[in-house]
Amino acid sequence: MATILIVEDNEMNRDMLSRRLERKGYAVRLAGDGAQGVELATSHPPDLILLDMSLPVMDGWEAARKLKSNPETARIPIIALTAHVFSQDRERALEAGCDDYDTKPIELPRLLEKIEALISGAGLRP
Amino acid sequence: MPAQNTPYIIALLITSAICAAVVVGAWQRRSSMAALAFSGVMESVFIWSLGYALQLATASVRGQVLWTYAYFIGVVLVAPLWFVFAVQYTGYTRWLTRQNYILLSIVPSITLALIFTNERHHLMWQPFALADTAQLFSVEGERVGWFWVHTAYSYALLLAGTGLLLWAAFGRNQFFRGQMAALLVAVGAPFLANAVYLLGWSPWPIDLTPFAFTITGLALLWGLFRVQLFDVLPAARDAVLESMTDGVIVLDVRNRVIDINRAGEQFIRLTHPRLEKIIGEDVRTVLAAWPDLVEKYLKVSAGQFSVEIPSPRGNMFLEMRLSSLKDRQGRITGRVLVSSDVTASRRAERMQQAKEAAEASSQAKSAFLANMSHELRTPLNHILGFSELLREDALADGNAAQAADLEKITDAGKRLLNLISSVLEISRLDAGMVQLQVERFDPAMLAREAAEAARPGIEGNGNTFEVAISSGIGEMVSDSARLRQCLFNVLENAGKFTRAGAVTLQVERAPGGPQAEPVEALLFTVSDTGKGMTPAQVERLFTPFELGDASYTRSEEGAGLGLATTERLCRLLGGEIRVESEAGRGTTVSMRLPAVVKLAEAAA
Repeated sequence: MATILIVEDNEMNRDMLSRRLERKGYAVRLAGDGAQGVELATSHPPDLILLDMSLPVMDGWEAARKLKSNPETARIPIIALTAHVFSQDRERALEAGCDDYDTKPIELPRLLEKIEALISGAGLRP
Repeated sequence: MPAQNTPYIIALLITSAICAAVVVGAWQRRSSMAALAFSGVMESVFIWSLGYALQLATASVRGQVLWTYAYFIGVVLVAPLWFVFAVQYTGYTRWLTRQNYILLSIVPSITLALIFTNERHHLMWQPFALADTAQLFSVEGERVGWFWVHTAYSYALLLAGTGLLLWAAFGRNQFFRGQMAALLVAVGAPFLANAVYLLGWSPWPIDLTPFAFTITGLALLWGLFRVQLFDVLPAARDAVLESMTDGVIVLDVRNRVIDINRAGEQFIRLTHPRLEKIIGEDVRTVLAAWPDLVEKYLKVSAGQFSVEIPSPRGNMFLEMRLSSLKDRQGRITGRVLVSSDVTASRRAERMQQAKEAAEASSQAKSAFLANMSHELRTPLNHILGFSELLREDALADGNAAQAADLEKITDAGKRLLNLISSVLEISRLDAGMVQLQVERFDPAMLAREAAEAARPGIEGNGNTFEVAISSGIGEMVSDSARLRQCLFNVLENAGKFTRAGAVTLQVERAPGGPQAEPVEALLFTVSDTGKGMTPAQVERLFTPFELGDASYTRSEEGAGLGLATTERLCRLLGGEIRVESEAGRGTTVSMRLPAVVKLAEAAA
């Protein structure tokens, strides 16, 4: 079973997304800010990270850079999530090392496609 | 040289020297017309007094007679030249036509001719005889006939010229009282002396007129060098003052109005329509509309302030400058108040301020909407996410009815989300927060993609959909995502308002641009055979939240943001959008967009 780390500060979003992903058969771990997310990803490396960009303590871009510069976590695929629909956010996320990008509100089928593509690319299946 | 003549000769030589000095002074100022005529007057007096001196200095009778003839050239010319000077000085130069000059010179010409032929006809003087007294050695001839014509003519011209100067002195302003006094003393003295001599009332045996011209010369020297007679001519100054759009009010030391120009009078009349006379009135009476200002500035020598005059056609704004007039010793002799009408610039300023305030408020509103839209999305995402979650639960439990209801919540939520996204976008466009992503792309391919995206909506309403793209339309350098959005919006709109009709998309390359400059452009035209719009509806089309008809909102979806957004996007892309429509017949929307977006336009 693939494990997904959700880094998201909004509790309701976190709850909603984790429950929907669990239903689809993923194991889910949760972090409430960027620093916690990096810590958890390092101590218990997941198969994929859903990373919100606007986060307290350490924002998504910095967290992504940290994770991608650490050889232990560099191979974990990251999907950046943001409420902003502006393309410069997408570019900034990709520059910070994120592998893909999705906008909120989450459309589950679309997000699942991206998750599956990245996990299968890494050689894992749920 | 007859010894008894010596004092008179010396006096006459002093007179001629003074005249010569005045001639030189006037000649140096000859750039002004009146100065030239004036120098002519003084030259004549110079000839007169010098000739008279030489006559008296000559011991022979024959010599004295000849000198008398000579100096009469000066006597004859004085009056006409004086008249010309007066006319020029008072500003009536248009009288001085060639014809009038000729008329003026008829009598003097005859006089001169008769003088030099006097010995043949004695029409001027009877034969000269020597009057050798203890007081004077001088020839005398009885004055007859034409001499009196000449005298009358000279007096007439002298009087006319003097009258003109007097009239100017009292009829006009009082700036030039010094000059006028100098001129009147200058002309009055010879008059008096000549009359005294001709009437035989003189206590001395000789003609006093040239001596009186000593006074003339001195008075005019003072006029030239102290009052600067010719530096600024009163006529010119008057003309300038009168034609000025600024109001000028001159006050004396006791705060009475001693002069006012036309513009000044006009603005006083605005507040004081019934004021009978202004000249001579106290400033407190004339400016009664602003007692506070008058009180404040009554004893101030200089200042600047503005006043507002209420008027039915909108208030008038005047800017007033107060400065003091000083004489050569630096004593304050009065004050001058200059008022400029700044209504036009003040109004423009206020309009500009109002416009800036409106723009700022519009931008603040747009920024607020942009932020608000973002804040609205977060809770909406929760509603959508949890209703989706519940629907999945319901489906898992086999509760189809509940699942259907939950799907309705999801659908409504999605529509609300789309609406919020549109509001967000148009707000950002209006707030100038959108930047173009310019790249090179193939517009034909882009048009086909947009057409395929819109096809289900168009054909879903039972319409045919035709796409006609001209070959060789080339490449475009623009923002492809924005262009795709524009095309999709227009196509979606056409499909929405057309049922069982036809929709066509045409793409071609068009020379020339929306402005006069030759910009290569692409023309995207979407025509439909739908319900169309009235001209009034077309007019409101680009205003956000206005659908062609408010009643459509029930039958057709949409918040009326599509075309408003598209219009703003087209402008952002440096182009324009045009809508032609006829109610019941259909609509044609054409977008003309430059093939290459200019960076300045992209940044705007």
